[in-house]
Amino acid sequence: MPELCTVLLAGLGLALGTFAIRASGGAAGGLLESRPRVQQLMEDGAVLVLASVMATTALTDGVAFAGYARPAGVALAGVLAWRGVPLPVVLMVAAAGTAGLRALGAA
Amino acid sequence: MIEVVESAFRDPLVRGALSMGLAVALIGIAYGALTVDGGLPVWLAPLLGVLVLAGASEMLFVGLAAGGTSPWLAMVAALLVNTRHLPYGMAVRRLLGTGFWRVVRTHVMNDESVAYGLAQRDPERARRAYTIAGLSVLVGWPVGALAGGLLGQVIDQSAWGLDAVFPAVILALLLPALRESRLRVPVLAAVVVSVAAAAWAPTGLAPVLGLVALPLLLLRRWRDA
Repeated sequence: MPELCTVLLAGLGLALGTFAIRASGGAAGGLLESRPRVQQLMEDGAVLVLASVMATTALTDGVAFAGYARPAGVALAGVLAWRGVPLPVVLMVAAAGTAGLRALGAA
Repeated sequence: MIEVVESAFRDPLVRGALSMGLAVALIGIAYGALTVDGGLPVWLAPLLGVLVLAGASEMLFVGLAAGGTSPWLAMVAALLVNTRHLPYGMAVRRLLGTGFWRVVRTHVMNDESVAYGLAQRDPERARRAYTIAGLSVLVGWPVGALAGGLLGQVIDQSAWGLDAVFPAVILALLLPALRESRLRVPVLAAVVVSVAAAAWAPTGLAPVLGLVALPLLLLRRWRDA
């Protein structure tokens, strides 16, 4: 266990660095304000990254395949969301579906 | 006052944002439990939750630091996870506004608020959705982390299926964008690339690699022109 003080300082560095990344994205985007096609491309880029975040967290534990229960629960939630079911219900079904499959013995 | 609160709760935009705060609170429980389990103090996870406000990177940072990695190395790894906020910032820059609120809206930039904001068509509505979702996460995440730290390992994340909540939030928010057919093939490509990359890319970089699908969008536009 490293010194708590060092952990705190590094945590503060993480906070400042993260804010800097967020702010520079906003500032760099502002420079392209007069280019609507580039703007559209950036929004599409964010959708692609979000979809990748969703897929990697649904299917992997960061490295290896996460098993069938979690992606099944997420897919079930996706179907309900597509049919217009409210978000809180969708999220509860995702958790309950995954938990249920695990209780039945699915990995 | 009560009437204001009541009418706010009747707004589906607010209700959606609040359920997002609740969802990240559930995930925050795992984060708080992980921190305490690693021998770090209970207040650390909520404090980082407020100051950093980027879930996956905090969990990586705390996990590495508790495991004996140098905190500075853990910081660099965690910052790498947050590189995806760069394209996010570019995409939502019109929602950020100016002055004090620009600082706040920049700080609450995360997967949930970006997806919620981009899902709205009207620009004023998009800014409101983004801000409320961001503030809701700013409250929900540290509160969940505190609860997790206090509960310790009483709650078994995997038995409750809580690991499915986060991807489900993002999927639900992405669906409106996928109704536009031009995005479907590039999104599929991004998903395939990033999942394949998760096995070998440094933690957190795999989702950013989904951007390699962007040329597919350009190709399509060029063909349609």
